[in-house]
Amino acid sequence: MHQLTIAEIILGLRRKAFSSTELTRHLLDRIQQLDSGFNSFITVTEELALAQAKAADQRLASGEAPALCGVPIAHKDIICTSGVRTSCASKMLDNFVPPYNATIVENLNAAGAVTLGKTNMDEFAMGSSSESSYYGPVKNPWNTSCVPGGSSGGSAAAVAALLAPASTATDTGGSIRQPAALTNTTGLKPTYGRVSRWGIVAYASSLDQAGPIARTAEDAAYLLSAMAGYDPKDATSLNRPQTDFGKGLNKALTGLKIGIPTEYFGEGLNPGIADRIQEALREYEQLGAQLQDISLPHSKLAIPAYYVIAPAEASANLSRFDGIRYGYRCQAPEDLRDLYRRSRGEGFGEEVQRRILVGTYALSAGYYDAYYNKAQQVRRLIKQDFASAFEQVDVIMGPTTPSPAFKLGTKSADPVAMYLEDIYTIATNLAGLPGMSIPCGLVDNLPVGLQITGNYLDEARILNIAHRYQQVTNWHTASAVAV
Amino acid sequence: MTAHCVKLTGPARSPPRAVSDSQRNRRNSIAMAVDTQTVEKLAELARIAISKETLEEVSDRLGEILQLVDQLQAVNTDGITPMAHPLDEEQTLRTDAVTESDRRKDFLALAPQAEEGLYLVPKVIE
Repeated sequence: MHQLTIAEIILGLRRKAFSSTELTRHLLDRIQQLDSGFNSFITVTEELALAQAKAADQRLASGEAPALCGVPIAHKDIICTSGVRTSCASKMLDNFVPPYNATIVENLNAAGAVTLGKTNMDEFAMGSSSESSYYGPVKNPWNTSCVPGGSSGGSAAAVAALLAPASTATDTGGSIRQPAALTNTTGLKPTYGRVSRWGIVAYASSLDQAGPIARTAEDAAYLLSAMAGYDPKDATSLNRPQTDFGKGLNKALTGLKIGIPTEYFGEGLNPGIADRIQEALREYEQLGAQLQDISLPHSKLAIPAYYVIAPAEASANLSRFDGIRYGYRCQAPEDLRDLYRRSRGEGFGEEVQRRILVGTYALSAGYYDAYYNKAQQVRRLIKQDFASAFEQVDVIMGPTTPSPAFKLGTKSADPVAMYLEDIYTIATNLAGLPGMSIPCGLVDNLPVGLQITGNYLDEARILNIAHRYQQVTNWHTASAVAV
Repeated sequence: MTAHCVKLTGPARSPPRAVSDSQRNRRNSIAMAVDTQTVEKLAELARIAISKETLEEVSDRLGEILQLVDQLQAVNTDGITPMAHPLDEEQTLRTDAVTESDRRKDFLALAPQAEEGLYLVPKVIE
């Protein structure tokens, strides 16, 4: 049962091939038996899952079941779950049990989803390897000596190891797409504002966006349809009509214009990955699409701009962790200053501290114009690059990552080397565009991701483009673990 | 609680050099980029206790990151409006009405120390 897609689960539950309780029990057992090898979960919510599954089975029997009724999923541990610890993989929030659900949890619960647990990640979503977790690193199910990517590495690894059919995740600079690429899963970062950020621990508020990691584009469409929607509680939420993202999945791709940015195929790209991407592009030509070279001239500035904007916003967002209202407090503080300094010094890990310090620097008096303001100007140049490109083409394709999964421990001591992992994904966040990563082959038995970037609010289109590819290829069904 | 209004010592840093490929080059070229005094100042502003033993390591890493972001200084951005929201959406305002229920107890229960409906902190007034 663990290899079933969400589409298959929905069908199986309605045909009574199995119950949600049976499926949920099976996945919980599997997590218990196998996850010590991957460390993809921080918390397993067995009691909650079985109660939700039982309720789902009753609704299914009554014939009034919502779209995802009885479908088990996992939530990234940055997403608040009422009564269930939400740690953000940090010592700071090791004891934090939120008294409310994030809007996306409410939405998915309303759609009938069952919560298996909370997935591991880089602390506060700051990283590209899921090694900085307070609960230990996540291991890539394709090769457990390698990282699964990050920051949503636990969400991706759980799906790749067939422990959950899908997971929620968040993406600030690539944190859905990069782990999806490294674990042979399908990940979607929606348009900024498409999915509510309310109840998701904030990292960089002008970039953060939640989305699904699943096994197929069709499953990602199911999840996104339940997650997305206007939320007055999130001031940046887009007020757009509710959409069924699965509706146009089968549309033909005849005449589709695919832009290939020359900047994404230059120095630093693993030749094996370049080959897999070219093969995928040939497949799209077979499906009726036309390829066109385009240029995104400011691409190389995406990482520098991001590492001003994200730390600056993080330094402001993370000032809320003060050791007073919730979270970690140091032992025996001498005075208030000591309480702040030691609670934050002991509660935050190295990389989180680094980004807060960089952000503090960038926002300091006399530096604001040179750093934050400058980065926001460069951000607009990057957005304009995409706007010009979308005047010529419908979507943009290229590699999700420059190289396949790397070995644990090889980049954790070198922040800048780690940052370069997101070289192809970060511009999408800066521009606020929707982007996907889908499996398109292997290099040295490690997965390769094809990145599909769409224009604003074009999630249905890129899901359609991903789905058509998955109809004629089977890379996405390749499994890291024995089925 | 973190104040971002204190002037750091010294003038704004000089224009950047391009980032070199190897970490070794990076390390050599940033030797003076961020001194430990600056890091101590930043740590104070951000209210993060950093041990003396790790100051140098933290300075080195911050220097590398700042060198990476200094690539921005080479770009001409004259007349470009800074971008805050990708879709340039207007901030919506809600009506001034009570929408939340009183959950004071639930939230106070999360505090490391609370008493009689108040958060407890070390004595701040002598």
